[in-house]
Amino acid sequence: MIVTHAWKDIKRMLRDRKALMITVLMPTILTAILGLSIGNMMNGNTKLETIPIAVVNQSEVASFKNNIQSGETSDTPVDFAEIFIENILASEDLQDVISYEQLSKERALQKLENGKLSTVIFFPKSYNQEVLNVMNQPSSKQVEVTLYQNPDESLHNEVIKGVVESYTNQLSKSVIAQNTMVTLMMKEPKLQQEITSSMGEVIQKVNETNRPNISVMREPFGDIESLSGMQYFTAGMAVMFMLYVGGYSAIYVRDEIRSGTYNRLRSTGMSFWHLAGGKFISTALLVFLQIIFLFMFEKLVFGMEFTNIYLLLLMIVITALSVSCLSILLTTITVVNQETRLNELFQSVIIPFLAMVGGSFISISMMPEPIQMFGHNVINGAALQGFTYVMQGYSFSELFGPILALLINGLIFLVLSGLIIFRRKEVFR
Amino acid sequence: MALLEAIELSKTFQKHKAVDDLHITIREGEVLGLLGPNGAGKSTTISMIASLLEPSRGEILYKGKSVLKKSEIIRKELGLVPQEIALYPEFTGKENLMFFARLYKVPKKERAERIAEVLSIVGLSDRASDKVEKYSGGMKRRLNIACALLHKPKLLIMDEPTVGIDPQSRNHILEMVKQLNTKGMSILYTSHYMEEVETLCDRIAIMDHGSIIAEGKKQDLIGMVQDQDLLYVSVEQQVAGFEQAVKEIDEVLFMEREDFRYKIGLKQQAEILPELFTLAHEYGIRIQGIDIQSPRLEDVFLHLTGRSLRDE
Ligand SMILES: Nc1ncnc2c1ncn2[C@@H]1O[C@H](COP(=O)(O)OP(=O)(O)O)[C@@H](O)[C@H]1O
Ligand SMILES: [Mg+2]
Repeated sequence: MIVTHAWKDIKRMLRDRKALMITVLMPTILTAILGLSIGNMMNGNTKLETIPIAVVNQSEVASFKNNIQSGETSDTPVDFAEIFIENILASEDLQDVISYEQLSKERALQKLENGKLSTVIFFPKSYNQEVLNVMNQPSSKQVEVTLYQNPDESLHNEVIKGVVESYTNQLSKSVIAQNTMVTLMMKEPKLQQEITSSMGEVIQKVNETNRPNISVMREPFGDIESLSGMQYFTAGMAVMFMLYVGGYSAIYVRDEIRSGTYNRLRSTGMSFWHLAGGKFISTALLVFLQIIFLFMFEKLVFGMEFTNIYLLLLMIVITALSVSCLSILLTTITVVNQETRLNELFQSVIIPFLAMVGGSFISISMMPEPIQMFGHNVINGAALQGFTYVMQGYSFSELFGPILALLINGLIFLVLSGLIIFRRKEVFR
Repeated sequence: MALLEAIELSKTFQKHKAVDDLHITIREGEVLGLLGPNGAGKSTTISMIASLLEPSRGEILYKGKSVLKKSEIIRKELGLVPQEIALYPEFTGKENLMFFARLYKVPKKERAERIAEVLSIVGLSDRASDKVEKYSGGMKRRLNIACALLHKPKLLIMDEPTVGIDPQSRNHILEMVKQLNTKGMSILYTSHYMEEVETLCDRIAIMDHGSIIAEGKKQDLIGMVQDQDLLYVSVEQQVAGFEQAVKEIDEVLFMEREDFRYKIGLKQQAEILPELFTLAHEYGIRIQGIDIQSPRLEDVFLHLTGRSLRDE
């Protein structure tokens, strides 16, 4: 009996052009537009506060041999890593943007893992020596600074990477300039005067050539990857438009009430359990199909990555079930209060609001704390988090939060509709 | 034997008494006509009988058992034809029937046969595969009835099943109701069309303002107004005051005007013609014709309520 009711609703939806436009066509188009235009930037948590990073400086001080002017050699100790920390990270310009601390490698990576840091900048033991080697011999092996980064914060990561890169670029430019000069002067000491005067030219030439030999390596921390815009918006639109499917199942009941069909259904002996059960099954299946369609479409057309198809399926199932619970609540309210404007309100106000605070369009970390809290835990926000986690490569245990939130959402919807129907039992004699 | 009995049935919607202390009995094998103007409370009564709506007061017995305590006893044997077209327009006729057959728990093996049967009863066999949204008003009405017949109900309740359709479909439906009744189905036929109830029903209950104001066989009801004569007076023009003056004659029970024709109810064998002509002369009205008729069912309502049953 429940299956008969469910099948009826599924069939209605599949024949309802307007409903299909809203629940399938719109999210597909929106995902394509947003995903293609926003590209690679977007991600979950972009904060306006200072970016917490750590510096692990294992480099040893090296000696720079000054043998240019006097013919004698004098050793000058140099520490390029320290220069970076003292003159750049500690500079007043960056104080508002970056807060840094110097830590051991273990401690830093631990804090990164716990989400307390955005980036760990790692200077290896031989860093200073390698920079000097490059100065003396341009062809020598490349020097690397490694950045360990938390992929959740790709905007922060870009900032830090920019800072480190600009320093190393600067460094490598001066290294090249110096190399060129040293070579020239060794060959033609008489030309020293001329060389000095043409130094500006040389440096300019270097700037144009600009092939830094000191590079910044970015190392994604663990197996976690950054999200593409396509991935983000596929999930964002899916979790928004799935709510319309939930809404439609209540709208169908409202239409049945208005057309008198509802009375006919009741006269066949339809109980609340038949109605609610039918809505549960039909909504779960429709949402499941809808989200699968959206993900498949983006994959086939734009080559979007699922990352982990099994975890993705699990998330879709749990999400669909919790939307089913929502549809039961909406249906119950519609049946108990047949005059209700809830369904119109749900489509025109509630869904857009939830989509906004749930992060379907913009990152919710821009919003005030209480709204963020709500946005992360409300049905669509939790589902969005779950989907983005899966596509970033998080493991099952890390999905626990969003899954729990979704289950609690479902439970709340069921309890509410239970309370309503319990208080108005006469509606289902 | 009484198949269904409603006793002291009342329903109040926010202080408004839609059904007020109503008594009604449907006997096994009969067609009972429930006649009343819009807003009389017919649909509300039906909803309570079908146990879709809880009465504020009263009792409903089906085969002597309380429907209010246990609605299942009537649901299986009741076919309800709602006043509205209660169908899924995006489904075909057959799909609608299949859906409701499942809900009525028609055994799987019998479904196809039953569907074909009801389709032929309502004369829609050749349009069964069309979507209902493509049907004419009359076809929708017929399918609306078909859906209530799938489980071979003992009692069929039809709430204004012919509202707003062409005469042909209407005749088809009336003929069909007769056929179903001959095969043993008890029927409660609700309408505000006099002629339908007159030709179709064994017994008639007249409802107004939430209660039954008269009930009985057609001839009995007409007998209630047998002691009055009806005088039809055609005039050339209307003159203010004439109607009022005629109404003031002692023997005149009521007076109604339809364009240039007055319908006047008189106490039996009352002689008002001389007075009438005098008044007409006074008001400068030329009487074109006079006709005396015996009363019809329609006049019963007029007699009882002073109002016409016709669409307001
Ligand atoms: N759900 C309701 N709430 C409030 N008033 C109602 C409701 N249903 C019917 N009524 C009122 O009860 C009266 C009887 O209505 P109804 O039974 O539909 O009459 P009928 O079927 O004879 O035309 C009307 O005045 C109508 O406005
Ligand atoms: Mg009615």
